[in-house]
Amino acid sequence: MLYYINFEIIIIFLILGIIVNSVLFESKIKNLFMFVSYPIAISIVTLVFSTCALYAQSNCFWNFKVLLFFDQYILDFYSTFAKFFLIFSLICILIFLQAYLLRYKQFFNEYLILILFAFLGLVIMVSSYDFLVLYLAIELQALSSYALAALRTDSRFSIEAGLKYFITGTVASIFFLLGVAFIYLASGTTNFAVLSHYLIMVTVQDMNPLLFYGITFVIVGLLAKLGAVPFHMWLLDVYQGSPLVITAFFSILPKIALVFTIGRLYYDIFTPGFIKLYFSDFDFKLVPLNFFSFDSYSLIFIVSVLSIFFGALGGLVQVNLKRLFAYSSITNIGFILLSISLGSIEAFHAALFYLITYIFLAINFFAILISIRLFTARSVITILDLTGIDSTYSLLLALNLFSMAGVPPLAGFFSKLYIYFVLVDLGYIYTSIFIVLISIFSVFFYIRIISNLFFSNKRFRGFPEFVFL
Amino acid sequence: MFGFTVEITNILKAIMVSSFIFFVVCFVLLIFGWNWIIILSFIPIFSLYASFCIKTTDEIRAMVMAIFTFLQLLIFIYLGTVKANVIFDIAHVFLFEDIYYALRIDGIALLFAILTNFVFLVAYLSSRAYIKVNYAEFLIQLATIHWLLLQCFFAFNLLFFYIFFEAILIPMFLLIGIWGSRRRKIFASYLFFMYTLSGSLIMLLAICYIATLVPSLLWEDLIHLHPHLTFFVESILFFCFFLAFAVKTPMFPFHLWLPEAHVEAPTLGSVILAGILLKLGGYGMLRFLIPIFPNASANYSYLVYAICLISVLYSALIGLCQLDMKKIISYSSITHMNFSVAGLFSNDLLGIQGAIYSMFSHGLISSGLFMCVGVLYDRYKTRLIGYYSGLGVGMPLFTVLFFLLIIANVGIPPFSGFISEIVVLFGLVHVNRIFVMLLFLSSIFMTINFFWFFNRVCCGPLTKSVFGLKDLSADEFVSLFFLVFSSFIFGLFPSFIFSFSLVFVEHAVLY
Repeated sequence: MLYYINFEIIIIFLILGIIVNSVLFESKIKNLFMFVSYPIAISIVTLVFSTCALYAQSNCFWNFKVLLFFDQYILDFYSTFAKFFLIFSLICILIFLQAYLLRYKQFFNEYLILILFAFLGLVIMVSSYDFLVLYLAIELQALSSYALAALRTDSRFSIEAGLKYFITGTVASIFFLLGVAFIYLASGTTNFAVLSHYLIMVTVQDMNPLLFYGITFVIVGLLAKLGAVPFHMWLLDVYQGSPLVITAFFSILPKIALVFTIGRLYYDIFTPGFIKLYFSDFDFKLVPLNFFSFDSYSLIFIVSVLSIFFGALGGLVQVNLKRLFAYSSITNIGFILLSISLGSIEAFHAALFYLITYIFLAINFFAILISIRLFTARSVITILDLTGIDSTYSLLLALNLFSMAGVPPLAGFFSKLYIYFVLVDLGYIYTSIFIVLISIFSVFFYIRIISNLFFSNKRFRGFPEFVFL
Repeated sequence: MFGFTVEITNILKAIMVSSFIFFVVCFVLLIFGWNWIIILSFIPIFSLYASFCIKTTDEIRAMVMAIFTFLQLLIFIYLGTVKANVIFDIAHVFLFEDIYYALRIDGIALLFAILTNFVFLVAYLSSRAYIKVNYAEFLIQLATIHWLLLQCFFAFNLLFFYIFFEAILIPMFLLIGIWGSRRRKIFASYLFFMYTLSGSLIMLLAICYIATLVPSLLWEDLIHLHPHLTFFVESILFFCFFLAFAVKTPMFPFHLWLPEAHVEAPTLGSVILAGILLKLGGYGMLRFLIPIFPNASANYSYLVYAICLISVLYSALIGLCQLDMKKIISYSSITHMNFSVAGLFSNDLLGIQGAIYSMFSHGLISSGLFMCVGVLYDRYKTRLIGYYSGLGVGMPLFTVLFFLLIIANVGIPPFSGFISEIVVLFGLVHVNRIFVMLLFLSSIFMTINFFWFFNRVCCGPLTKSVFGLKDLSADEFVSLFFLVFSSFIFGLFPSFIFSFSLVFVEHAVLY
């Protein structure tokens, strides 16, 4: 059995090794080839080689499914796919961490250890096949994240971010746990496989209404962790207050794991119950909680449309770049949830494609912000100076922002196109018109940064050298 | 001209080296299985690459790109005269599962490609005179727009037409913003970007809806779509497409971005905008809107005439009270473009041919007029008419060319403006005579406006603000003369252009 989870074991030993190392030795920021610090180098190398372990887990790659630990832990292509993206993003984050810590002239081990703990939580999250394991994984990730948000001790905003993240995150976890308890009360299980089987077998009249409370609470807990709109208020302050590299971490890795988890819940576990509800003549008035005609598809649908709307409008007046990216990530999460909520397999492909595009764009965005001088990176207005300092970064940032805005030949356009196509194909014409009109608003705040980058006459000093070959 | 300032051997060497690199790139891509039409449409990018590989000055690079553009122009004219009647080659590159990047050449595409190359040839040649800072970056933007326009005109896949139609926003946005002259340029570039994007995103939804109905988005599949649509759905789709093209043309309620963008853009930005980018709207209607939705086009043609009439009269009248030279010319572009849109919807061979001809001729003439304004702005740093008077005393060459361009613009016989107006009016006579009379009224207003404009700028006493007169330099003269001369030639032999578009109009546009 341990053979199957060798990837997770490698990560655990890596964390233990780094903890021992940080206790015994003092590590400097540049001590390997005068370039990178030992712990980060070792972590990156281990992560790269652990992909081999991940590949070995999936010994027949496309079509395997292994259930471990009394059916509580699953290894399949879906989770392996998610783990590959988690590893890729984590390697990028560790490189950012090296660049970020250079300005302190000293290596802080707690950044690395906490990031790796959170990563372990995310890895377990995408593989969990039981609500309790999922809860534990979420808590492992969340507790590390609360500490990470508050790590910049020289900033009051950072402390505020940590506190806000802690309170709202705990409330979200409590909601999740309450939902799990309701589901257990109604169906007698917390296991995904048994629950799925139960939802197939049970007749609509025999369903306990608490099951619907439970499912709604679980979804609300996950959406609050994701930062979709009615539960988004923590996201802005946390993104603004956290250290830059931690903001990058928050905006990339938990999104991957949570989107994959919500996808698994919707497309694997809850679907039979919903289909049964859709096609039965069940009288919804019998159920006390008559919430959007009581199917959570429309719950997540409404949440996603609200996210797109408020993310686009909120970004218009922002000055701080990190806060602006927080609104942008709300919009993007809205797009992903929208296409998850449509319930066709093509729509789910669109959601994953959008997620992957979003990951690459976010990595590129934060790589640029970390590379340029830190005072420049703070706000939309001071980014005027960027073209004067380094035109390479400003050109790359402009292309990245055009891509996020969804201007055609770039990747952001194709991901949006796929979602529009799926929406129109499934007949959601009015929704698609609404989304398109709203996305015009969201284009504006990307355009504003680009115009600040290039359009002030004194600043523009030409394109970088590599453009001229 | 650069040839007079730089030694001729340097230019020859640069041309030889860059053409060697160019042919190597083309040969490698041919071996990798690229179709020759794709390579033809990639010439701006390749010539940019080749000219930046050699170690010379930026002036010679512009010269090299102009020479490649000229060669491409000759190839297009040759292809057009030999086989404009046939849709003769198709290029497929596998990109997605069901989406083909399809390029194809026929008469209409060649006609617009010829116009593109005319304008860009002039732009490359005269770019040094107008652009003082960041010249190499400007050349990159110019070549990118050139390439995207050729892609747009050759695209036979609706989705790829949309992609390139939208992609021009990026370099044009940067062009207006970076090389514009005043503080208001940021507002103008926002206006340009947001107007065009809003119109096109609605069209994107319509494209998505169509994509659920047809096997592929290739043009020949699309023209068989309309029997399967109810009239209601066809009307909705028609208006979605029409909105995007009407913003680009621009037509009355959506025209506000054009004067702003023209006034704030650099001279060559205006030249490209008026010369070709406005034609994308007309081209889209000609290529996609009318052939795909013939029933809706027939049914709503009177609505389109009404919008055209409003915008023609409105812009002709509002042009009379403008103080900025570029605004006068940009309002006259609105007049001309709406004239040609009215022709496109006339369902008459003469009207549609005249509309295509009028787009072509307006591309040449308005580019010339904007270059004239650029010449004045370059010397005296203002575009307000009130500061100018009596330029004919000290700038005779400029005055003559400017006068010829003005009489070409208002439609006086030996020039192409006359043919375009008269043929469109002949086509529209079958539709409604009162409409034709009202349309012709705008031509009278425009004539008054432009002669008054010429009178104020070039006649009268010399004022102090234009002290230190300097006539046209060699490259300015060559580029302006080239435009005037080509307008004259096409006015004498309009059948050259009519022969390009005849087959397409007869088979696809008339319903």
